[in-house]
Amino acid sequence: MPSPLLQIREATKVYSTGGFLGSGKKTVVALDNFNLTIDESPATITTIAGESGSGKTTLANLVLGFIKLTSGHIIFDGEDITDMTDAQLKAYRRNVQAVFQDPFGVYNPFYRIDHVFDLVNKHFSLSDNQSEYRDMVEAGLNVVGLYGEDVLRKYPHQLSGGQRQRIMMARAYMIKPRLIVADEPVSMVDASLRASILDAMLRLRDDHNISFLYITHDLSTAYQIGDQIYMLYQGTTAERGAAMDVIDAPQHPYVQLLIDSVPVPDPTDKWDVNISLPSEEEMRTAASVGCRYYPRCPHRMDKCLEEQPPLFKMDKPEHEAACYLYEEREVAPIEAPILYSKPKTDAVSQPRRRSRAPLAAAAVIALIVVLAAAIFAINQNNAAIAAEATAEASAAEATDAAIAAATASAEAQAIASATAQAVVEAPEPTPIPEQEFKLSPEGAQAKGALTLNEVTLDEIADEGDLHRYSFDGAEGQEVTVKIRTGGGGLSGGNLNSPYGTIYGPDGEFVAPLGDTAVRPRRSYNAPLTLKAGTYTIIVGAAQVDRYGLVGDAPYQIEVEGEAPKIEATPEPTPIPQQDFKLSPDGAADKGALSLNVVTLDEIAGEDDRHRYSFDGAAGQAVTVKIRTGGGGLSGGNLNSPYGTIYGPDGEFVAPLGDTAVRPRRSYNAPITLKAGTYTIIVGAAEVDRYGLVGDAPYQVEVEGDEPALAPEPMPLPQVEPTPLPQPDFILPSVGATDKGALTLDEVKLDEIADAADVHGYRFEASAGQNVSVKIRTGGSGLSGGNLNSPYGTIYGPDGEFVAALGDTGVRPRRSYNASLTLKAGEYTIIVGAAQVDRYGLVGDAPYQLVVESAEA
Amino acid sequence: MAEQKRYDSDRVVLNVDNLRIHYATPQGDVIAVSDISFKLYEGETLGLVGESGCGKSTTAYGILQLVQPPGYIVHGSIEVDGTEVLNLEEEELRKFRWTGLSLIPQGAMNSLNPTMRVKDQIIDVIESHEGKQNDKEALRERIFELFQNVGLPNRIYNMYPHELSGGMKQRVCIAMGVALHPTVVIADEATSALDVVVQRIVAQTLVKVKDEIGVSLIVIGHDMGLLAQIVDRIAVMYAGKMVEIAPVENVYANPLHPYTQLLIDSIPSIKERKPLKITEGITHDPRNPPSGCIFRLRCPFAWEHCAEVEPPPITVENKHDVACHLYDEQFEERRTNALATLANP
Ligand SMILES: Nc1ncnc2c1ncn2[C@@H]1O[C@H](COP(=O)(O)OP(=O)(O)OP(=O)(O)O)[C@@H](O)[C@H]1O
Ligand code: SF4
Ligand code: SF4
Ligand SMILES: [Mg+2]
Repeated sequence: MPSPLLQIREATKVYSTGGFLGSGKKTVVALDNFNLTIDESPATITTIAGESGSGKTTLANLVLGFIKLTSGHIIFDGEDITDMTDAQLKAYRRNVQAVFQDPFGVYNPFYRIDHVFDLVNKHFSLSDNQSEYRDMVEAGLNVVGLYGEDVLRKYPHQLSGGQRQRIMMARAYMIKPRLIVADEPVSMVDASLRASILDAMLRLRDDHNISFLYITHDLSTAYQIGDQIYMLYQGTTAERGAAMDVIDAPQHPYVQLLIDSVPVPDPTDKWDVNISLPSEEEMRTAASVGCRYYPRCPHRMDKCLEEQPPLFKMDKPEHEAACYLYEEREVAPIEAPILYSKPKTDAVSQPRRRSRAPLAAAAVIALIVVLAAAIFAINQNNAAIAAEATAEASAAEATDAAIAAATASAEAQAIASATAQAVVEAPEPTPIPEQEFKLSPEGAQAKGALTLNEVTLDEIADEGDLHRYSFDGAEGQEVTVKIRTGGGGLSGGNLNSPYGTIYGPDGEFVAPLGDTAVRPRRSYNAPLTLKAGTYTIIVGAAQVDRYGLVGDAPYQIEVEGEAPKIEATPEPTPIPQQDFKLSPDGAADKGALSLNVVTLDEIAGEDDRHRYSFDGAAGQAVTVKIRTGGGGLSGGNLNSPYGTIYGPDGEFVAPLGDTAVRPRRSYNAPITLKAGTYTIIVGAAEVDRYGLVGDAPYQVEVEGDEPALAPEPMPLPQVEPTPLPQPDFILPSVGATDKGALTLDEVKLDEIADAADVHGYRFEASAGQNVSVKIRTGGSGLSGGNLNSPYGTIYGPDGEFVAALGDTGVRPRRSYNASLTLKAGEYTIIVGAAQVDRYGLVGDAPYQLVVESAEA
Repeated sequence: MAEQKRYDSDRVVLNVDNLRIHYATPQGDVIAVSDISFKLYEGETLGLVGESGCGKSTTAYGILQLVQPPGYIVHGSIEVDGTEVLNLEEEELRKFRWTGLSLIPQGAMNSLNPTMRVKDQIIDVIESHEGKQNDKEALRERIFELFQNVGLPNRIYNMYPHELSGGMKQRVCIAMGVALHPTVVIADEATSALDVVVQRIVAQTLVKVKDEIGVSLIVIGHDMGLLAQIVDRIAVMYAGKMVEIAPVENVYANPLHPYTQLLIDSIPSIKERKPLKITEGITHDPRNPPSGCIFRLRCPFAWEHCAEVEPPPITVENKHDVACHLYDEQFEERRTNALATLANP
């Protein structure tokens, strides 16, 4: 029997989504009882195909370990990935590489392309020899049709999507893993170059025995290079088999439609019918029992509603289809998973497996010392590259030392193996400890004590910024320390991630909150059994990871668990309803709300309150809505600004908030108005019983019909967009932080922290000199959203206003240029957050600034 | 697909002449679009193809005067319905976008504003050109009609983008693109992020809307299968040059330019498994293109003449131009030999 490389058995993944508009919790079964086997040898290309939302990316993320199965097993090399030891997981992450659909997200926009390869080299120690390493990079690039001299010195934005994609393919190739999970790798590459990527895949398969999980909706490429194919429909396999058998003669009605929809590259053979999709509802409410394709299926029968069809065997070997049209055929059996026997205390009998031995104690201490030094180096030196070089090199040395120490003594080995077994059987195998993510308590800023089950929110400013928390443990108390970050709008991108390290009462290392995964995760949990004493948690930016990203985002930290059973927990005090009444006194005036226009703003702290007004007509019915959190708005689940509505005579009308255990993401107050001006106060609620403050961004809207008898609304003033400059975009030249002199053509990179943060630059000009001043920001992963945009103002030698870098457009742009002919003297450029624009966004993103020489 | 040609297919609506666009870099200018000329006819759907980085998007952005620095237009002329776009003042240009020319950008569905309802985004487009619309009822009807054009249900009127599927968002972008009945719509990779069934629906929507509203369409894409289904002519670009422009049937059945032949040859099929046709991509430095023919470093038929003289576009039949010396009558013998090697490789 061939030994399987990857076995997926009865894998189910259920996502629960909180309804954004308070529509309640929904669950989505993204993968349902899915089975798949990829053999070790010969290597194969296994295609996963299916429409958008069918679960393809979910499957990729599961195999890559980014998300966890709800139930079932993923077994790599005979080992269930949830049971792997740290060393096995580390090897697993090297053996399973990823190439993603949109590779832009993994590039740091401020590093040149060669950085991607340098990091790979450092991380995987591919070669010490510089010229050998350059050759490896060149060979990797050549495989994908690129040349080092053309691309290595470029910035990601200077490459096309296709080129970026091919670089990721080259990167994976250099690591020579055993499995590459390629999620839509050619979807952004044009036809003439696709072949070179597909060819690279074939060469990797045939020359290097690397298998692929090739995720695509492009059936033609699957047909050209795929060995096996799995056709997914709503999380289940509709049909599987050899790619050519399935595509030549699809058996399942859905697969037949799919293959029929592939456009034929022949203009004389055009689509003759216009197809349409059933309504979204119909597709989503597909029966939870029975065949998922029933609502769309032209051959549906009553029987199809009773039970989900199993895979039936078709004529060709391995060809199976899940459809009752083939009911009389044999049902394909699900093979039992093959697990390699576990090397309990006998590590020697399994030479192909990695040692489970944890690092010997001495080595761990050595490691801490080395890492503390590395982190000290970071504190000393903000240059990311230097820090990274130091830390990665030190970590590598320390790891070697640790492995050497661990293997030195057979006795230690035996003890270690025994210990390892205990570790494996511990209930929660969640965290992936990695030496690199140990942060030194040295020099950390004290942030005080954490209270059990209370979420604390803070932000790491840069690599040198470390936060220290403490919490008290009782003997035997079980807690889970959780760190969360990321999410649209909270952190700058998908990949930033603060990390933490937990130290025990005696200063000993207890657990990391972080890992070395390709993509840092948004949350890490460390389940602990405590001893009595005070624990310390250090949170900081992780080492620059292999993509050069720094974890400089906001984060939430929480110690979750039962209080030690000393006395009965006091009943949570009901929060008096008045608490949700916010006083209008001292609130910042945010102006009038227009009917049906969403206003977006953010509460900065407990004392920050915003006042809005809106006019009511007698009898007019409106709903005042406040929303926060969730999809792209705030990063957290639970933060919630609250509001209070006051009437024309200052009377309390309605709260936007409640005393529920968990504040909701949205509150609506349907009100029938009287004539007059209403006031809405929005602010942070009292700290609730989970310790949450409503300090998130929010949207507020008064929804309703125009009052029946109201006069025609005043037409908006027809302000024709005025040419620049707009007074709002002029930043005062005083009070800025001096950021020094700009050199011609040198790009400066910095970040505006908040609305009060203003940066000043100087540059010396000669008379008649032509320059172009450019400011850039934004881009995936750079700023928190699409729309943030720092702005600037240029002043001349006599302090006179010269030009603005900014506008009043509907959408702030990512870049502004000002072409100038200068006079002699010193110019000043002020960069800062623009006025809050009409979407309520503040320009608080990182930016690049350059003064470029220009032709007259 | 329903033929509803109410237009004059010989009337030129867009005339691009000798357009050249550079990107300034410290090491010299990259020639992104190199003196290209082509015409778009009324009611026509033109496909623009070529490998990544060959200048397709830059051409589109150039036509719309949206080239971002360090890019700049060196010279050329872009006439839409007789109006020279390059002479428009900033303000006139702003008006001209959406009404004369509109763009459905690459990754359009991510260009929707996440904090605005679908209706408000469409109203924004309309009001920014036509001023505040006081007749709300009429405005809503107009938006519903747009929805109908692109096959969207009215219930999405009040929804936010995150509540829509990718295919629906893409159709909202199409609705915005055609809202003001522009003369020319440019769709840059409008369907490449979608799966085949949805892609087919979106592509059909695009063509249907084009026919109903009577606009001309430029579809930039790399899915040769999809283009075969929806376009009338195909323009093939290579390294900033337009090497062939021809009726779609000719391109697939009888590609003339050696690069077009390569492109057609590398189309993946689901009917037969073919050996992969590997091409290395553009091999020269885009700042320093070779003399003579742009394709000669990769061309299997190149000879000395190709290094000396740049091939001018040769009109081989109505609406079919090719820029290759092989189609110059004085080299007929060479052409015959070349085609013979193609037939028996
Ligand atoms: N984090 C999440 N929370 C809730 N639902 C999710 C989440 N991620 C995916 N889903 C849902 O799970 C299903 C499968 O999604 P998945 O992204 O795996 O599809 P896909 O086949 O990769 O689609 P595409 O081709 O568009 O990338 C979809 O219904 C999707 O909406
Ligand atoms: S099982 Fe029934 S509903 Fe499902 S695909 Fe087959 S015939 Fe159609
Ligand atoms: S002009 Fe010469 S080099 Fe260019 S495509 Fe024609 S034959 Fe090839
Ligand atoms: Mg996907």
